[in-house]
Amino acid sequence: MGEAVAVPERSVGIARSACAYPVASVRPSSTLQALSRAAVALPMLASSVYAEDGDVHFQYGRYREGDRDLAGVDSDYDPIQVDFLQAGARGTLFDRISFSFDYLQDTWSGATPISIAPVQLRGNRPTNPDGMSGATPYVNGELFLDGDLQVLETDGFGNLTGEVDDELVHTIAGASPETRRQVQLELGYDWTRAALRLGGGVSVERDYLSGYVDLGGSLDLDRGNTVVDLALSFTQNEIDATLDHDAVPYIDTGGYEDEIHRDDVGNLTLKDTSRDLRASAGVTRILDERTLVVASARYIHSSGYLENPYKVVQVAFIDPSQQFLAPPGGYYANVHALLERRPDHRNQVSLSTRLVRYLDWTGASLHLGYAFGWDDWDVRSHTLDLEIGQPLPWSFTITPRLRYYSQSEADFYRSYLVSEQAYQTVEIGPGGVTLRPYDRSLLPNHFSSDHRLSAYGSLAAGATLAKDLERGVHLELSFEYYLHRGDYRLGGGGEASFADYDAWTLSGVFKVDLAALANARVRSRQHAHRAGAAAPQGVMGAHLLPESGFMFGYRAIYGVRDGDMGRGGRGFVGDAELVARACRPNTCGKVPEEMQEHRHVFELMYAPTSWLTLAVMPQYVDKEMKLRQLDGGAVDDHAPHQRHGNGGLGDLRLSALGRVLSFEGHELRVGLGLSAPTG
Amino acid sequence: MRRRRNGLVAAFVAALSFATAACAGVEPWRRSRLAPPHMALDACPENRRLREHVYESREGTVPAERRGGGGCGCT
Repeated sequence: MGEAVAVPERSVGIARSACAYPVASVRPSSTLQALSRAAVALPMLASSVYAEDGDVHFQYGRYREGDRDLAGVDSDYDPIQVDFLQAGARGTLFDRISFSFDYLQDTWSGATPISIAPVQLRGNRPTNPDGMSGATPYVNGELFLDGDLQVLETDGFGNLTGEVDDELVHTIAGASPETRRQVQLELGYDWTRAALRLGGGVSVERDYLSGYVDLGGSLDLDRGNTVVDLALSFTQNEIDATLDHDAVPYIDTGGYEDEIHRDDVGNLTLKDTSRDLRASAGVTRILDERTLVVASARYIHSSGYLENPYKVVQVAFIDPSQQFLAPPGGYYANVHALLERRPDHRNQVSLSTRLVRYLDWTGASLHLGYAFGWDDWDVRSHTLDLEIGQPLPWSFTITPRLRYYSQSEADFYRSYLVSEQAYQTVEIGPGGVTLRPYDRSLLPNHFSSDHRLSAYGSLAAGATLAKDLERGVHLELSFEYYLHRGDYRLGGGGEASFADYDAWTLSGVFKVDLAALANARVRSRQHAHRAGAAAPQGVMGAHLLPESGFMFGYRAIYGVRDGDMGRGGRGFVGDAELVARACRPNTCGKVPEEMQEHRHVFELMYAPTSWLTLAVMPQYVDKEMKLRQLDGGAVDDHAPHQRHGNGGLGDLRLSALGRVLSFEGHELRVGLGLSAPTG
Repeated sequence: MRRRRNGLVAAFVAALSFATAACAGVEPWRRSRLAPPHMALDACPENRRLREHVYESREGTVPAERRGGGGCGCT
């Protein structure tokens, strides 16, 4: 038998607490109300509109991939690493109007595969004297093939060993670091048995601008037993991708004459647009006193430029006029890299279901989900995930998680192509000598070697540890380890092991329940007249908190400076002087033109006693530098660099503030701080 | 292929019908076991969104996020 509780009339509607951590722990008098509200609520789909009581949340996360197997080559590139930052708030504006606001940013850096090639092409061969592969990937070269088009092994100097070597490897290129920023806002209106929400957002990064609008609604059909959720979303994307400055001289951009332009500083940029239309419908149903089930369907129609502008496919051109170089019975091929080409439409459908079950014997929750997806690119996927949320003593909750994913390859996925034609043919006519390029119609209409379109499986395991502190403060620490494996694909037949990699994700969430915080503030009003209690944040030495008190602060700092190089207050150094005096013995070609800095500083203060307050100030910093050509300096052989950016955790500041003397109307405080070099 | 796909759709619709029609429903005062925070379908949305952002960037499947945004994910 479930407990009989009073049901406030207003709360019979669809409450959608997104992360309903127990406010009861800080508001004992409202325990029954909170439980009642949660009990009549049917937890909604992932598209929750708002938290009824409101919260402010911050999140920092890091994703990092492991080293790739480059067939014995030691790359000097770091693997892909992403630093995530998110800050947001949810709450109610008026009685029935709610809002949510989120700011997200992620900074990507590290190396990424640009193509797949036979090992014999030696695309990751060392370019530096230390034996490590360097900045320029080798995407062009030559191959020797046997009569069955299998790659023949050479000793690296063009001498055949007589063995077949069909091993493949990713060609790795450095991805220039960049930061993406996204803001999104959602407004909701809540009726007794229905809710409507309208949202939108913009995502900005150097090469990609994306905006979306979203309309959704929920309807309670059966006193909270059955809720239907519908959503419609439209996204417009604008691509303005500067092609890899190191690789672009070696990439064939044919076929994109209308999309590729040279910008004002000489970079080759690809400009195009794409659109997504997303529709989803779901039903959430209470099956019994312990079980919920969700079934949902999603459809996405994408159109426009759907390629990845930084991926190429290598084509081995067998030129009939060069076959005097071929081995006996085989072929000689020149390899060139072409920008990948995908269909300009994609229709994706997914069906998913999720079961949530309360387990009496431990009080845990079992979450079991399955999703099947397919699209007209012939990618079919299965996703199975399992979570167990186990409450522990002292307001801890541990949630171990396991996820299995498998997909088939797109029908145009190719590791590389072989084409029996010349890459270029020299023609001598009345107008002189002309170069006739290869016949594009002899290649497939679409081709991509992006490993995300290959057949593979993945296994991810992780856990989240959550802790509810006093006054509505909620902390989460989450870790996940991810294995991408070709042979994990359901039924086998996945990509070879060269594409395997590992990755991990670590994240922490700090969240404050505003209703619980307000309630706690009322109870501690007697502290409001303490010295410094009303001082604004950032005032050094002002915040000596009452015993067990805590304070949380956030500061966003933006700075911009030009690139002029001063001479200690005696004017500026000109380009000519830089070239003459600062660029020896090495040459230099670029100087900074402008630097922007975003600094997000978090302040966490806690008072273990009434005379001591401890503070921790983690900060997240990202910077972007715009460069210009140094007048008279060396000219880059490749397309010029224009911007560089990076971001991540900055130094961690730790401090303590203590009261050493106190007499009527006066206090003597001493502060001590240090900065740990974590950035 | 088409027959297999139709079978999956039929199974999905059947499961949905069963879930929505076969149960009499649970009165609000008997839902205390459904109320704890860890029973929420989206108990920790920030961590879920981060994970799904990573999956969407590194996998070729239908993104779980109902909304747009999310960026290029080109690397």
